[in-house]
Amino acid sequence: MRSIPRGWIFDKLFRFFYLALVAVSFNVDGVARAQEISVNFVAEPLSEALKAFSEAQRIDLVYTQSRVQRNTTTCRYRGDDLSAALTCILSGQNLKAVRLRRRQYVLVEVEQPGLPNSTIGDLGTLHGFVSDAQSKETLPGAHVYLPRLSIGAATNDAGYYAIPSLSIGEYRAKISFLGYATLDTLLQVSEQSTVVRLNRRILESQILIVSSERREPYEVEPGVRHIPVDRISKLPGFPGEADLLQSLRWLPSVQRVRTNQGGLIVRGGEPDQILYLIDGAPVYHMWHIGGLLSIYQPEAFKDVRLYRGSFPAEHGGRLSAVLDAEFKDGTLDRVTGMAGIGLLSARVFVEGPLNDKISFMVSGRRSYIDRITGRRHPVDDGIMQDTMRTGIYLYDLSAKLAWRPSTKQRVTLGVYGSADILDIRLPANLSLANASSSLLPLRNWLRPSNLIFEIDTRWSNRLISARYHYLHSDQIFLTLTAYGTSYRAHERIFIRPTAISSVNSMYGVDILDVGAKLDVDYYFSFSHHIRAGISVIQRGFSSDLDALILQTNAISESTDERSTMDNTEIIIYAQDTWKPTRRLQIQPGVRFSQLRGSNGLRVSPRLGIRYDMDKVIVRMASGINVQYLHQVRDRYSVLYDLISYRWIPASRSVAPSYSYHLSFGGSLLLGTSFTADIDLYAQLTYGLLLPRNEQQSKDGLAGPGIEVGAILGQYTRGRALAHGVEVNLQYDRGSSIIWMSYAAGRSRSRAPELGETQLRPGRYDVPQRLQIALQRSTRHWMYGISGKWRSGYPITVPEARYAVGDPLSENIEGLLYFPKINNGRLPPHINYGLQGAYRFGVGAVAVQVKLDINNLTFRRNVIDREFDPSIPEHVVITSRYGFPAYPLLELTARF
Amino acid sequence: MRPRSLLIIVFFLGACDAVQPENSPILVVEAFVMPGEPLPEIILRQTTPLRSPYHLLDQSTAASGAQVDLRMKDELISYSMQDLGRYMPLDPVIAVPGASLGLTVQWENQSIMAESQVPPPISLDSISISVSDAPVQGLLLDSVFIDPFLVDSLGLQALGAGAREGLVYLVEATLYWTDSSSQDSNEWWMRTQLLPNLGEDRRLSDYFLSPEVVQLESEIPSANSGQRSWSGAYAVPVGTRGDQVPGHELRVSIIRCTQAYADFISGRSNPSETEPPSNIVGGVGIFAGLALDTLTIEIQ
Repeated sequence: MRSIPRGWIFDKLFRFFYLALVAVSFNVDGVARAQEISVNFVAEPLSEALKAFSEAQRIDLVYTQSRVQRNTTTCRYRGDDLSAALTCILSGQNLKAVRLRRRQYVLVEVEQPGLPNSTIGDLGTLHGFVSDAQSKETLPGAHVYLPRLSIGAATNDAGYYAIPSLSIGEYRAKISFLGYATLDTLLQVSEQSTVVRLNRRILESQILIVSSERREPYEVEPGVRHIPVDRISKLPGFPGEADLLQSLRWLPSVQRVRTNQGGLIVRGGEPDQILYLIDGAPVYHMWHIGGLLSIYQPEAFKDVRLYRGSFPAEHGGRLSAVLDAEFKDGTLDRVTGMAGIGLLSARVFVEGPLNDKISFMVSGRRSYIDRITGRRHPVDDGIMQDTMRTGIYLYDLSAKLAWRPSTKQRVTLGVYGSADILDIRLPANLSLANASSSLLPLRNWLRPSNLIFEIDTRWSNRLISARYHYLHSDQIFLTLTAYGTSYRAHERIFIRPTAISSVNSMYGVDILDVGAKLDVDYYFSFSHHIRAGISVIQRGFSSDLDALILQTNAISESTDERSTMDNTEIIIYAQDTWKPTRRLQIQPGVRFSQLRGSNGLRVSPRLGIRYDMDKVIVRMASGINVQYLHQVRDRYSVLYDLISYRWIPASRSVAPSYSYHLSFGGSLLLGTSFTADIDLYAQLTYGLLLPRNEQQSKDGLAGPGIEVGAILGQYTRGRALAHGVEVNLQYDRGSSIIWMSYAAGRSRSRAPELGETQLRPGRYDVPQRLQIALQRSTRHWMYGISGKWRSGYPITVPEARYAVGDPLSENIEGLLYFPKINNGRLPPHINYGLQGAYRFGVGAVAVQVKLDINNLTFRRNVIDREFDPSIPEHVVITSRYGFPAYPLLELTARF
Repeated sequence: MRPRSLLIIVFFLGACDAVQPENSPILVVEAFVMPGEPLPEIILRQTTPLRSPYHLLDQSTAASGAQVDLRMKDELISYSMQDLGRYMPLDPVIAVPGASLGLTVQWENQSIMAESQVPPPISLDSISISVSDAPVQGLLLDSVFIDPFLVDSLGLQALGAGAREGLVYLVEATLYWTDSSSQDSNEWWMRTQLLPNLGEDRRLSDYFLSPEVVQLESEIPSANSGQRSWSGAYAVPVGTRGDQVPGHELRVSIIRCTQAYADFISGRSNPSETEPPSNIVGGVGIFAGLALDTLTIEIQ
């Protein structure tokens, strides 16, 4: 009898549960408890009658006051039909009640034959754009809220909003956005789009821009987190320079992990399970050398959203999260900018208008150590001459042009490039024993030599993205995106340890993505906003290796391999943001994707629900995510994949990985300053690629090669379960900020093919993490303290020792017994910090000097631990420690 | 939600795990069965705690009182303990090339089993040695690989590669033996090794030369008809350009073995971080059939 895998049963149950939930959600609208209605008005002023009826029946009535002011009504009704009762009240008024959604009606004029159409009472759409008052930059994610109706809408990526099915007239509206002063104004329902401009909140110092605006309830969406770039980038962090990804670690969902490439994980996932988008185009390598800086310079971005776990149907392709960042368009006001310099890099940002319709933004960052130390150093001992190279530097450059030919159209072109260069050539004996009396200059201890250690590794991202936003009608908004993005990495190694032995290898990884995407926003009705889209992505992956290992003149080994893959992915999605009641929002969606060469069509349903109780919001999100790309790395050889990772697309032989995500959460909003968020989540992932030997050390010379099969042979299929709770408390009064984030959770995995029957802690399993920062600002000073506590990372700890002989050795070699992977944990990691900044003005330039002192208590945090069984007396345990206290200085100037 | 409930949830979600030390010792097996030779002694040890001294075979490390049975083809051979942890067959039996092997051990409450096969015998047909005419420059160091992860810490030993220039003679050795395919259709692995006795001065890392390799026999280049050959090299440091190659002994070895033994040997390269894969079900160690030939040569 064929056994049914548990995963299959779970999959079916999950889908059944999901569909049932969706069905129930759609039926909410139709469920209404019969309630007796009694109406008895005699020559009652119509406005009073409507008000009394509205309060008695707890319904919302939308109408123009002037239309009902001087009318009276006489009506007697007893029954259970709201519509019939309203018809009774409106009889003889030339008005009728049109149901917008549950318990919400709008009064419109009854058309009368022979009479010209009246505009009073007609339905229209309140729509327009929200933008920055100074820069004219559109603001995605801003909220337009009509207090009287308790309804609102968020602006889309182009800053456009629409609230259909409103009767013609004026409405009081509150427009808000993080970092901006809320605007209380009147908006007119008309055919013309209105542009609402918001002013930034600015402290007295006129320098520090922070947000102190209370978050409106409707800003909290299931699974979506708007990142307040201005605020979060001011929280302390290594390396003391403003960096978006480094700052994200202050969110409880996000964890910075230890890899020499840098990396983030979200909710216990893996680093490769996050999709990074810049202007809609994916980026494959987000970190500079050593993972100290990311490629995200905060000044260049206007809107950053982190979609966690169960994201809306428009996003997908990864299991854990999507970080969607959009470049600034550039201000239409005047040329402004900033320049900054920290310990690692210097950066500059400039934006401004080219004319009244075109603006630009340019930003760049570059490390400068190589400019101080030099990249090439002649070495000369009088007989031989050579050059030592120490070319280590990085840069990134981004630019955007935005053209607004009319209110209805906007065209943007964004480009991005980054590169890291690690070019080292040591043609010398580095032993200090050969140094003369003084170590400086370098030539005192460098000698030219035939023996060489040379590594030239460089990797780069290139991206170009063009977007066209078009307001087809007040209810239909189109966004067309076309992009190309590439990642290239090249690793060249040349080592000559003896005069006739050498290792010479050249390894390259190239990825090229070209994609096009069409998104349509259809503001169907008062309570339905439908978003749908289609995208096509063509991906190409190639790697090549050319290596020659020459041991002696007679013994050599050469490798010349090339691996090429390409695929096409087609995605169609649709989602509805449905507001059946004033408080309830349901966002069902579905995403269909198909990868050419992979098995079948993948369906990813999504569901988000939010219930708004003004001060408290509760939310739920669930969904199935599919990831077609696996990030893998050779685990044996140093000749390839030394810095790079490989991306291998799913195929008939390598199934995609997929996950089920479920989260519940809530927000508490107290006053204008305090916000508390709590979320519980669980994610079950199938089809992960886990290393067959987690402990395999990458220290060999030759390896199995770069063919896909050789790399995949080092991995096996696995499952993972992550669950946890996240808490984020924010107290923000502009001059004072208290930020606390706490996360408790587990991230575990298992590989059935390796005989693992129980889940074991994953590489980045951190059960507890707490971060607190307190900052206070005055006109000239900012000072703050911070603390970070987290559980130590898992490590594999031997549980016993033993020895086994070898027929070719007289010695009996000591060995360690490692029965389980990640069965131990390093000590907790604790880091206290102190921050201070002084701000002053020099003419029109605002200058800030900032000092961060990390690890204030000189704590020796253990970052790794080794076990040496070679000594018979006992196993020697050696710990490696992180840095003690270190100061970080940054100078910035805004103009 | 009550605070107490929240605390319980947080504790449940974020509870720390901790290492549960392995209290009961695990049985360790060491046995190598060679074709044409009497069945070997089987050494049974037990694991000890990390902080305990590990003496090679004494009361604390030997596994005494075990019931050991070895099956070769259909023949069952019982073993008895002759010395602490050393078990010998009750009757002398010669290992037959190609025979399947099975081992079962009962010790205290543990029961382990392992399987292997006796490979065809092997012998070195010929050896070719060549030494460079003159010493060449060589970088004497343990490793030049600098792990960025280590640099991130204060473990400055990561940068202290101890590099210094010196002079070395490169010695090449080519070993020839008869291919197993003429005797057997199984796929066997080969372990080839050059082991010079250079005393304490052998500073040049094996990282760049290959005095020892484990690979499939079928992937080793064929030499003359029916022969395979493998070449390896090692370095001999000298003080000056005028120095001759210091006289020393070179032991050359070839082992034909099963994949389990090949995996075990390959997996021992980094014992501080990983454990070699074992073919002992229920225990650790290695039980393998292997064919070995070794020869010691005096290099002048």
